[in-house]
Amino acid sequence: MGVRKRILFMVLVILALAGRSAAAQQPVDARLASMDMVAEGDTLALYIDRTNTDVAVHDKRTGRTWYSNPPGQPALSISYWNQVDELLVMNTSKDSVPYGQFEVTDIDGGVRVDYRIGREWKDADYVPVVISAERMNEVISQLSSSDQKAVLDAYTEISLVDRGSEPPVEISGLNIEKLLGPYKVVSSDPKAKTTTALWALLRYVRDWSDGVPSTEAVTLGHIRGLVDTPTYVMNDIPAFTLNRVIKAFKSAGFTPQSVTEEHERYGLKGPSRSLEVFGVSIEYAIDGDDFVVRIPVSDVTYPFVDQEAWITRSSAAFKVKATHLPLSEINVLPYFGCGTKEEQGYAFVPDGPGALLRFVDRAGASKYGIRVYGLDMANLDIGPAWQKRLVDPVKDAAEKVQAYLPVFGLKRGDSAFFAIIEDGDALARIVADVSSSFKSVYGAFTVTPNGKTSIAKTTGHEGWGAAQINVYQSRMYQGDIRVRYAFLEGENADYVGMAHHYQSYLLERGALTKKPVSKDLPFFLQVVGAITARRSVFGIVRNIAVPVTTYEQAIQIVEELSAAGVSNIQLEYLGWTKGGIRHYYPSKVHLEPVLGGRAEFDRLRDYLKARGVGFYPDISLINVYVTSLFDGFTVSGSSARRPDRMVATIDDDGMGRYVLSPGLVDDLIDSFLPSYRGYGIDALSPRFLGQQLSSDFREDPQLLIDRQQSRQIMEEQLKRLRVDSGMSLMLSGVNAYALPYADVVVDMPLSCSSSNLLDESVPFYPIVLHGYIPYAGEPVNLAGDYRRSILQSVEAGASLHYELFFSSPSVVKDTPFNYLFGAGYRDWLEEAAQLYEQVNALLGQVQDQRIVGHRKVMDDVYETTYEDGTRVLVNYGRKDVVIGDVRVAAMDFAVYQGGNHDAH
Amino acid sequence: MRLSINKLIAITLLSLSALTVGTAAPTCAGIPYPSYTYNIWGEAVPAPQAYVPLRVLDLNSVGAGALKDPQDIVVGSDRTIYVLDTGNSRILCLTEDGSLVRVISEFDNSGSADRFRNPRGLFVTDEGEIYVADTGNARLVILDRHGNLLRIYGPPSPKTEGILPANFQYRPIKVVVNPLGQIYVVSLDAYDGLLEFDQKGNFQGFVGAPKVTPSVAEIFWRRLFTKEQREQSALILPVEYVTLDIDHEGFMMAATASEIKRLNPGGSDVLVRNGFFDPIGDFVVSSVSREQGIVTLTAGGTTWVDIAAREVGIYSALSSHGRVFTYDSNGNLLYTFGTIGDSIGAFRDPVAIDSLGNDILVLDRRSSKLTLFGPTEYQRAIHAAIELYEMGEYELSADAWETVLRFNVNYDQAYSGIGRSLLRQARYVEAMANFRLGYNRKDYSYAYSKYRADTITDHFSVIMTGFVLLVIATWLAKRYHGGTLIRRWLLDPLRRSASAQRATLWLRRGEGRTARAVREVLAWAAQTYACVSYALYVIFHPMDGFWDLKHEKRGNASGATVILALVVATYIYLRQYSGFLFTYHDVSRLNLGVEIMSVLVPFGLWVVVNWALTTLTDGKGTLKDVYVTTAYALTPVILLCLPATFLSNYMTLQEGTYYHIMIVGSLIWSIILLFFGMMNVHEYSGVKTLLTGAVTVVGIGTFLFIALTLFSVCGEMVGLLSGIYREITFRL
Repeated sequence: MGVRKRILFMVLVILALAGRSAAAQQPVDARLASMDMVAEGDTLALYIDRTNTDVAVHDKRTGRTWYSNPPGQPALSISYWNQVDELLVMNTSKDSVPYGQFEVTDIDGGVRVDYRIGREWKDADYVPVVISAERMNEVISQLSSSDQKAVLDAYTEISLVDRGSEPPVEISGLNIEKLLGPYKVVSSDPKAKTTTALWALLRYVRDWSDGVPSTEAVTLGHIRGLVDTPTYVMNDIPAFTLNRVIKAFKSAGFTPQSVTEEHERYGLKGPSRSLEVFGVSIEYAIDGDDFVVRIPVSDVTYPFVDQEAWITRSSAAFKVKATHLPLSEINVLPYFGCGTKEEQGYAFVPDGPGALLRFVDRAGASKYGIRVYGLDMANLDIGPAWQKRLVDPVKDAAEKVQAYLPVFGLKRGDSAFFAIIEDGDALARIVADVSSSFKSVYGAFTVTPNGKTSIAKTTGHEGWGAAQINVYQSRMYQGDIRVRYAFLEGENADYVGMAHHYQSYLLERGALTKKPVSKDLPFFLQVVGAITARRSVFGIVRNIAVPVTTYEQAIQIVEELSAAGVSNIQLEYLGWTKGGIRHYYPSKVHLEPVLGGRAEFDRLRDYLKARGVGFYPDISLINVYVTSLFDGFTVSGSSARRPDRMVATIDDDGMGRYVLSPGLVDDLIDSFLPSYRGYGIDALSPRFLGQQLSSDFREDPQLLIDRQQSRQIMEEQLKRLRVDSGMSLMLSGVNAYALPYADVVVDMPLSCSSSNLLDESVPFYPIVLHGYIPYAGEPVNLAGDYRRSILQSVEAGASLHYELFFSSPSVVKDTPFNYLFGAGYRDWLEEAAQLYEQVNALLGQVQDQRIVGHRKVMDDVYETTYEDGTRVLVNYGRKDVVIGDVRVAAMDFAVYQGGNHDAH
Repeated sequence: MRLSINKLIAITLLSLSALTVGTAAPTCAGIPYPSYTYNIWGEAVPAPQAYVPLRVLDLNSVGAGALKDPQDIVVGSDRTIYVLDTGNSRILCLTEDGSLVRVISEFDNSGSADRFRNPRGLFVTDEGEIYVADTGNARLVILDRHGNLLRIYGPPSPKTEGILPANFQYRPIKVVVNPLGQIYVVSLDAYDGLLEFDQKGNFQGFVGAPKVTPSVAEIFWRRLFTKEQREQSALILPVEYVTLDIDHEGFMMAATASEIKRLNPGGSDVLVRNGFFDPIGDFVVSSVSREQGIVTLTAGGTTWVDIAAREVGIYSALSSHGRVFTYDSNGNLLYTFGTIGDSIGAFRDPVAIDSLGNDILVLDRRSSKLTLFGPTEYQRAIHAAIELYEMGEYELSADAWETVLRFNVNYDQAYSGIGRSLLRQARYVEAMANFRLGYNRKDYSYAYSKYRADTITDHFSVIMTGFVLLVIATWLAKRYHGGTLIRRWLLDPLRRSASAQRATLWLRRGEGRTARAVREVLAWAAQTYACVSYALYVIFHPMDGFWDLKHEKRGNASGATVILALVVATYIYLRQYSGFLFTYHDVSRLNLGVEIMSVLVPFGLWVVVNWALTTLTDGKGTLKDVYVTTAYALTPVILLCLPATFLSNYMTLQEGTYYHIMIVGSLIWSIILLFFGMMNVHEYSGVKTLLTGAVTVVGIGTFLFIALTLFSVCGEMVGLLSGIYREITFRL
């Protein structure tokens, strides 16, 4: 091929491509042109199509338009439970818009759409079974001649007239005397089969009026409306004819209400409206540079069905009175800004530190979903223990899958949107679907949570089997759902940009603040005080506290660590009160005698203060392990309840603990705080607070605390501890609502869950926090893979975190605390100190800086960049790599300053 | 396949192999499976990860088109990975980093092209010869490493009629070759074991057939069968093998679906099963009674699909539920990893496993993916410890075990390893502590015997002096009327002291109610004491002893109650303070109430049932008599079990016989006493006593049966009512 030809060919290709993309652009603009602008801000304009409720947000900065959904897809979808516990799904594009069941109202700064989801009238409801000739003629007059014929063929005109002295015409099977009295059936159409029509009429009377069990029971009274009134009675017609008739009546503007009018003229009932209709409203608005979607859940209506129904189960049938069809979940804008197969991009979800699902086709793959703030601790699905044991002999890490931040995002090409759930966050699941043809990510909100209960004991026998039925939260969530969408472009349109956007969002709202930092990297040290073990004391076996690090030994550990060169220690002291880790209900704080007395404790406190060591004693304020008489806790009164009204317990350590009702946390802190202050400490590590969230599913709607309310309570309590009481807080996790009150964060997830749908773990959460709040992952010495977890810490800019105790490490063997399988401080001290020295030298000076970049350099090698140009390379591979002129050893990391190593 | 033994250096160095081609670098993702071992109670105990998924190689994208139902992988000594693409009847040869070297789909068979048909098994010798179990063609095909045909061995010749079962069909699915060149083949639906061929491919016979040894009960039932039934039941087939591998000593590691075996060339199972449990993977714990020291397991949790023999007798077995269990040559479970699922590190239908150096490869047949697992530091420490021990480097091995413990204090074997090293250094006390932590009774006993011998030697003079002094003291006491001496030097001064005098006076003279009551109590105590001491007479003279007990009122109910209380106390002492070597239950789980009841309930049942029965058969004994007699008969339990328990703390396992003799002896003695007692109390003949005794036992059984039935019925009722209540609450 000649050079010319080749150039020509290339030009043609380029032209073709350009033409194609132009063509692809065209319908998009056309779609926007058919919409009305309803609100406009400095940067965004909001449009709505009033015929089908599609919404568009036009970004005036870039000219890009984001649609609420692709044509024909819904803006909302809902799922609800029917009486037989089946979860059914409906959406606006199939079950609302085609039937005109929506209203669009302009509101301040936006627009509101009220949907009635669920088809109210069936097609057959548009056709009367009897209609007066007068009305029929009106209808006919509006139809085409072919339709006229079809309709007239479907009906027979009859009326009742006085037969005078004529003898009644006997019709076999009918009591003519009773039915017609002095009348006879006549028709204006000589060919009409009046007897057949009379029979049909009898059936209609039977079916459409009350108190008529059979055709024999029909009397003259029921059909008196036909006297001297020519009336069309519908024939028995096949379905396809019926469809034609339906179409004709509809086109004549006949409605179910008109049908009712006609029926009532003859004393018959009209068609009844379908009950399964849900009223859901959605409001779109422009707020500054953001697009905000709100669903006022208090305006949601859902049907109450007052009828008896039989519930059939495999083994038994139960007669129940269904009361309502609870609305389970609302999916908000499930297709907002969705990508397509052809595009490059990914969905960002807050799994672990953040994770990406790239746009690839995975045949048959399911949707990805993660619950914001984790599972509800009062609604854990508790299966048969033995079954779990076989599947997973030890407690599964999967239960830890939790989204700590209520955010998600989607990147398509060189633009992205990033969404923050501002209200209803505690009810949300973040769902991503990148397997089907539309690549989307959205929030799904569980407005009526449910659990299960068995209604007959599981005996293992057949027959009276283990029938499980749903039980529901006794009322629906009553607040708002609000999601804020921001739009990112170009360089910012990636997960780092999203993290930076979220960071500035939090900064604007005061949830993050710049605090002075020490020049050294913090070293997080979790020290275990006492554990409990079953021991025989003079023949009586009971749980006794076993000291593993006394107050004095804690001093010794810190002393040795300091001597080994570790500075800026942040010490969390676990299990220091009566009972050890599984401590007593802390309405009053008592020291654990086996750890030492008050004098020793004071010495520890003063020593740490003098050394400048952060001291965070750990107390569980929301889970209850052991109680004593008259401490204010009663199992039935103070525990949260599950949806089946049983007491909520958590059993992840093999010993079990109660979930304190969120409504009582305030009372507990009331009595805890004065007692705790008596120990002269101004810092606290409230175990699980800010990490765990539970409802209290009490029957009484007044006592019920839904998850969102619980989240508010937890936030208030954290505020109270941090702001009102001036405690420094070390928090685990930590959920977004707790961020404003965290002085340090530990146990931050540094790797995403093992879901196969996730393609890549990204340090979104670390990027948000770095430079503002010091953080660390889970203790590295107890991690599944020690070396890897250190590398993950370094990659994420996290501090080191160890969990140690003083005693011989084998003390935890054969106790429920055997999960502390590698925590002997003598085993780790030297290595921890060396590692600290190494990491501190590299990362100490960047700890007050933001992370400005993160990328995958090559397989197994990742690079994190800080504001001042410091770059950290982490190599997870088993081969040394050379990036530019920097050599990174296998399973190791390296730091270098500035420069673009790609130039090398 | 075979593996050369890694040297220490090789273990501690990072293995540099990696599948670099392929997809999904999972460095980010969490590990989808938990890591655990089983402790002595059959409980899963958490552990750090031994293997983490490093790479997943999608075999469909290595450049050989889509695979169809791949069934086997094997790694050659040159680290080439051979994948058997069964559905496409071909072999893929890959380098260790996952790039395709060649595809062997046909070979030149004396001039004409020949192909496999649904081959299911693959083996590669150290010399690089590839053995293919060409299942569909009923033959073994042997190729060189380039895919050129070397030999073809057909089915066993029908001449060997005596050995081959009638209508035997040869369908080889797995093949291995041992260092002597003998070929072993698993044939589908062959229940007689493995087929052995010599180097020339001549059939030698079946080996490794599981022997069916009928139990006594089976033999009994078979005698009752008709001839037809016997023939029918003879069809109960031994289990068939599913997989094979050759271990480092040239023995075969073979697995049936439920069992792992190590077969010597003669076909006998020589697998060592000295772990807490047999190597059966996961199991269902159907009852754990830590109180009784009983763990009842139901196998069936795990179905084996493949096995990989590794260095120094370590083997990793892959189960159908995606978990890889690794055992050492003693049968101890070292670690577990893997699971079923869709994530990285999980499989959908795992079929084959092999090791690549210290890495593990698992083939998933459904997704045609090869997952590479890499060891962690924890795994390297475990393997180093075992290998060093095998190499005789005991001190280094102990150091490696220390490293294991640093990662995981729940690791029972590590304690034994360290203990053995300490034992060698004659540090017995520390060794004992370690053996105890590792529940290693055998070695503990040995260390203890050494320690005891040492202690006795060290303190010989003290012990002897003490002994001599004791003898002298006894002699002196006898000689000078020890009783008198004590009275004179101890009691009289006491009595003379003012308070004692006053109390005595007050007791004697006091007319007050209290004084009278105290006197009565003292009198009662004195009488009870007399009655209890009489027990010592009874046990040696049961005939007249029991007679007098009843008729001469030498014993009474309160005395019996005291004895009973002592029996209960003895039992509790026995259960809680027996030596470590003789305690197989978990002392920290004992429930005092249950312990007391486990004496009182049988005792009470015996008394009541026996009385009820004997009143019907002219027994002369009242309920009280039965009670008193039974309690007195238990006296030997106190006398023997107390010292036995005490002494058990100073016994080795070998001396345990004495402990058991004392305990069993006390029971036999008690039963004999009970016999005489009942005879006297009811004034029965010997035969009648025996009969009523036996009927009483049956009665107790019946009672318990009824009680348990009632109990379970009540339980069901409660469950039903609560279910109905719940239904009413939630549905109406």
